[in-house]
Formats: sequence, structure tokens, C-alpha cells
Amino acid sequence: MQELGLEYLYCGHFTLNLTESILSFAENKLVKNEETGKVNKKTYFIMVESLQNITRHQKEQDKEGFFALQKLNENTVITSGNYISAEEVNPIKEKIEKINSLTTDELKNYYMETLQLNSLSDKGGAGLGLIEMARKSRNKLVYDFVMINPEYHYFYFQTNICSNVNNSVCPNTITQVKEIHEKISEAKIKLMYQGLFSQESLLEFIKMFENTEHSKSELSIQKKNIHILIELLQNISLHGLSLNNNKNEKPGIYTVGGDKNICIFTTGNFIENNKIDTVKNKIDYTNSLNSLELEELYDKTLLNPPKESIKGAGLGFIDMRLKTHSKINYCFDPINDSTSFFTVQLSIVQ
Amino acid sequence: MESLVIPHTDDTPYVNLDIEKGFFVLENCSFPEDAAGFYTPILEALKSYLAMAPKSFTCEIKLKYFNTSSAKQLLQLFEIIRQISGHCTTTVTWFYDKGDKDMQQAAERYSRLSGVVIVTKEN
Repeated sequence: MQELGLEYLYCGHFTLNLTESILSFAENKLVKNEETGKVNKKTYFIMVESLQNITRHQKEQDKEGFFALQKLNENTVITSGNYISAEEVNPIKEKIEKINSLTTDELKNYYMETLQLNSLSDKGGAGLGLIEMARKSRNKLVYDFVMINPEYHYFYFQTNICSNVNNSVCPNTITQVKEIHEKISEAKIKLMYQGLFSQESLLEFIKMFENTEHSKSELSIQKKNIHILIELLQNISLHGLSLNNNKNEKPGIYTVGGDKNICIFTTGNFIENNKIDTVKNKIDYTNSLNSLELEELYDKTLLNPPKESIKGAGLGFIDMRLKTHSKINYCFDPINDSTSFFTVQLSIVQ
Repeated sequence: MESLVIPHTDDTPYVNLDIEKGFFVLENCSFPEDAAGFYTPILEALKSYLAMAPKSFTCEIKLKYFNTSSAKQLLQLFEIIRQISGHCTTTVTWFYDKGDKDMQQAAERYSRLSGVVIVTKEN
């Protein structure tokens, strides 16, 4: 996934609130230029259009939409996916082919013509979105259809935005993104983010999580989910190793998966090899205790926090074990002589 | 000494130390990254106020979530309250959402560890 530059991915039902929280996250994080801090307006516009395409064409609750954002060198690649009815396939295909066949000037004229015609399709769009996406990205639109059954097809749509105006290379990643979509669907992963973590991004992830299907669980479970999410993500921002000396933002990965019966959080961050033993021992010890012993350890740690965890209270793993009633899964993958990648996974019964 | 009011943010609670009424409340969420940094001035203000030996003191905790770094700060809060509970009428109430056993158990733990009587109330 690293080679694909996948920064953000969501697979599931897109509610209006979720779309809003994705956009707010995008504005603060995904489409901001790291050097200037400015939001890339073209990318933002294309994100809005892609997300609207998903929500507009979303049929029933069980027909999952898909959204992915990749950063590949100078390119930002946005892929959306949604179910469409079989009779919509050809008109969409024709429209995209027509757009792709036009030059920049022709596209401008076509846009004006379409605007004047003002023939709003029954879904509320006028095909203007597609033309605008092509104009703003200055690249060919990429698409694919996968037949699900005679009634429904899955429509993948990809736009490529290059920040370098002189570069016309358009990496078409649709095949790889489709494969990733298939893999994450099998693994029941709903959301994935790979990038920098801070307290600010934690707040965005809470909002996003509150708008996903796990927010339908009963209130006490919802709160448990959020609790674990906070602890896991703060572990990254507090203890994660920063690779570029920016102490406020730590690189890592975060996924949410599961179904209506279970919520699975996985997080990963870089760690110094000399800290592995301490962390490993702490988790193994916590995993070996029963509820009563965990309660005792929690009390003891609360009264006398161990010195080695000055940053946190040393309570995190104990708290997670107590709240989830399940073991903490983890692994360390060596990166080089001094660094490894630390992955933690927790499951919460809904 | 003046009352202390801090509006809530996305990750820090609403705080009100009303010295006229002898009332203190923490409300909403508490999961700042630097919990000690957030709570130190609040706990200092509370200590100063309680050193003035008020006749009665009411404390209400209405937190939806708190992170483990806030957990230690909350224990300190109850330890400060315990020190005055012999000299003044102290009422501490911990409100929690219906069915939220984790929060109910947290209140029981603080009561056990600090020796302060904490009344739990389901919202």
C-alpha cells in the first residue's frame, strides 16, 4: 500500500454527515500543501464532486460506496466507487469518452453548451461535474465498470491532479485501487488513513467515526469505541517516533474494520528498537492478567505511575484490556537497525 | 480570589469553580494530550479556594469520556477534596450516561482510592 501512496480510504455507506467529516478532514489534512499550508482548491473541488457522485448514486443502505485518495509524487489521485444500475453504464461511458476526446478549448465550449442546455438529469447532476473534473484536473478521466449482477454494476471513477503544470504524465492506478478495494472488503476494513497523526487529526477521526455504522451500537458501546480510539491514536501522537523532527505530528497508520457485531481498530507507528522490549513486556504482562488482576494493576498504576511512562500515565494498555475484555494483539516489524514498525489491534464486541 | 470558568473545547471540559456558591463542575469530554498542563492551574485554584475553609462544597463530574492521562489528574482532584472533607460539608456527584458501566466503575474506583464519598447518578 505504501508504494501506492494511499493516504485515505473509506468503504461503506456514505451519509451526508460522513461526507462532511471527510471533507473537513481533507481540508485540514489531505489536500493541504505541506509547504504553503494552503488547501489545493482543485483537489478539494474534485473531492467534493467525487463524494457527491457516490452519495447521489447510492442506492440502498447495503450498496457500499468507496473513496480513496492517493499521493504519488506530484500527483493526487482520487478514486470513487459506487453501484449503478445496468442501464446507466452506457450513458456514463459515452459521456466520459466524449469528455476524454476533447481538447482544452473544446471542453470549455462543451461545458458552456451543457450549461445552457441545463438539462438536469433525474439525479440532480447535469454531467457538468464530470466536465469540470476533467477541466480542473487537466487529465483524462479514468473509469471502469465491474458487473455485479445483471441489474447492478460497480462504477470506478478516477481523477488525477498534478501539482506540476508542466507534467502531463497521468498514472492510472485504477487496477491497483480495485485490488485494494477487494482486499479491504474481504478484511472488512471500512476506513484507512496513512499519514501524520496529531491531536487535531484525532478530533477529526472521532467525528468521522461517529458518522460510521459503528455509531449505531448502543450508547455505552459507542463510548467504549471512542475511548479506545482516543487511547490508540494518542499512543501514536505521544509515543510514536517522528521521522522528520516534527514533534507534533507522527507518521502512522489507522484502520477501522469489522461489522455490526465487532469493531476492530488497528494502529501502527514507528518505534525505536531499544524501546521494543519495554512495550512488549508491558503488553504481554497486561494480556496475562484476568479482570480482577487488571483492576488491581490499574489502581496501583493510578496511585504510582511508573517512571518510564512520563508522557502518558502508563494506564493505556491496562485500560484498553479492561474496557474491551479482549487481548491486545500486536507485532513489531523491523525497518532498519534502529527502527521498527509497531502495530496494535483491538477488538470491541458491539 | 475569583471564580474560574473555562469554556469547553473538543477535547477539554467545561470547568466552573464558583467560589460564591462553593461549587465546582467538570463537564463534557477530557482527553487533552497534555492533561497535566490543562489540570494543574485548575487544581491549584481549587486548592487555594478550599484553603479558605468554605462551609460547604459541592462537586459535580459530568464527563462523557476521559483519557488515561486525565485519569491521574482526576485522582488528584479527589485527593484535594478529601483533605477538606473533614472540615466542611462536601457533596460529590458523578453523573454518567445510562448504561455506561465504564464510567460508573470509574467513579467507584475514585471513591475507593481517594476515600471521598462519590454519589453516582445515571443521566
